[in-house]
Amino acid sequence: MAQEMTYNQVAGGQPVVRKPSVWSALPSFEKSWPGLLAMAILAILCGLPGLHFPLTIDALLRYIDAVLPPVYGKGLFVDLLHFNYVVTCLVVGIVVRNVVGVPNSWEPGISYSGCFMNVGIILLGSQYVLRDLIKLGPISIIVMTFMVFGGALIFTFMGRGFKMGTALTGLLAAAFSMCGVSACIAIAPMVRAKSEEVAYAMAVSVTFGLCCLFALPFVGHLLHMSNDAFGLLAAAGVPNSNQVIATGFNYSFEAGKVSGFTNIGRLVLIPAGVLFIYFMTLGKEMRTLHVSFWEVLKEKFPLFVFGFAFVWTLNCFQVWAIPASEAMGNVMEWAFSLCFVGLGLQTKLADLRKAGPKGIVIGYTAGILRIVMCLILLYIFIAMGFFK
Amino acid sequence: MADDIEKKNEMSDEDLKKVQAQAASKQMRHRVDEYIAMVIAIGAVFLLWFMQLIGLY
Repeated sequence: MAQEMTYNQVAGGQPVVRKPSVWSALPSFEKSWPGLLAMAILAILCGLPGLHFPLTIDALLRYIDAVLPPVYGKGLFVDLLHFNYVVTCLVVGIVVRNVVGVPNSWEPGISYSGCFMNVGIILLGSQYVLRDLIKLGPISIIVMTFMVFGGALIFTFMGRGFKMGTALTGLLAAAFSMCGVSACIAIAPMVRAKSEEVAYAMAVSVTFGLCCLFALPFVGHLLHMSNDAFGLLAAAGVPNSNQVIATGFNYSFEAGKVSGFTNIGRLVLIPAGVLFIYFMTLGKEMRTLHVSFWEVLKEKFPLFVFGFAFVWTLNCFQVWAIPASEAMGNVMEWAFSLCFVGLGLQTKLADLRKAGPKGIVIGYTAGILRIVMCLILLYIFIAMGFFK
Repeated sequence: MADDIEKKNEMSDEDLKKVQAQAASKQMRHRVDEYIAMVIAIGAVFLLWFMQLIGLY
């Protein structure tokens, strides 16, 4: 049982259920420190931006590039394979998890990777000013609204076409259209999903996101996409939030900033998206749950968006000087580095098998369709001259 | 036959409760992660701001 209930006898003799504190969901520091320390050591070894530590994997790759003869006139790792701190952190994490293995004592600490992503997104506010919001805000709202609801529709129709079952259709639609694992778990009780369906949908979305993380930047380079366009594509096409940001930063620092900013729009749309999928996937006779919009909004709205807005407002008023803003940018990248190492350490390649052929056919086809739909939308905006 | 159906329904209810508990605990963890992230990030911002005020930046 996940929630511990405490029953107190009151004067009237009726038991009162005391709700557990939200802090009880957090593993204690005693349990978490091995994982947190492992993440920090791996991130430093990969090469933290702004920290001039010479013995890093990043320095080693640059050394190999300098020593090896160039391939097509370029360095193999940095120029051709686009190895940067994002890819290094992820690959090291994946190798440690799947080759060496992760001890159980690391698991509670690794689970903080989502928290570091939130820290990075809040600090992203220090890198934006009002003109960025004017430039990117309206386009990102239109693209995200279209992709969240349009993506959900694609999955609903494909689910019906392939006779997937309402629960799995709803889970996949939520996972791909909104925020991957989080959205999948949020909608699971509403669509009365079984635990194996939840695990299956999560495996499909995580493995699809992993493929996007490495493949999408190559597509972007092939299509000569601008940083803004690629940032939007990453935020709209990749299912999980931490994978969205990793994909963006994998392309370029600027694209990473855009994907982090645009992803906020998608997170804000989660409550509306969850309700939309609930009503789209379940027929009237199957909607047994009483769903209140305000309850869903209260539970699913991402509060850390206010943190981003607060930091961004201070930055707009130029409260701090440029060197302090640069230092905040470095702290942001450190938080993202820890998030990417954690993401790598949580990536089990065995999930690819768990996703199975049906998941790969339906989930991946619909996921690719969403990306193509987003590309078309972006090119329409570019052709109309809204952005480059 | 009726027993089988009843048993299946019971199992499905149990599984649903398990999924609900999982969703509730995950939701709670998300909220706590958000609170911690706000404290760390805004703390870092104020620390760097303070360092700028005392002339380090």
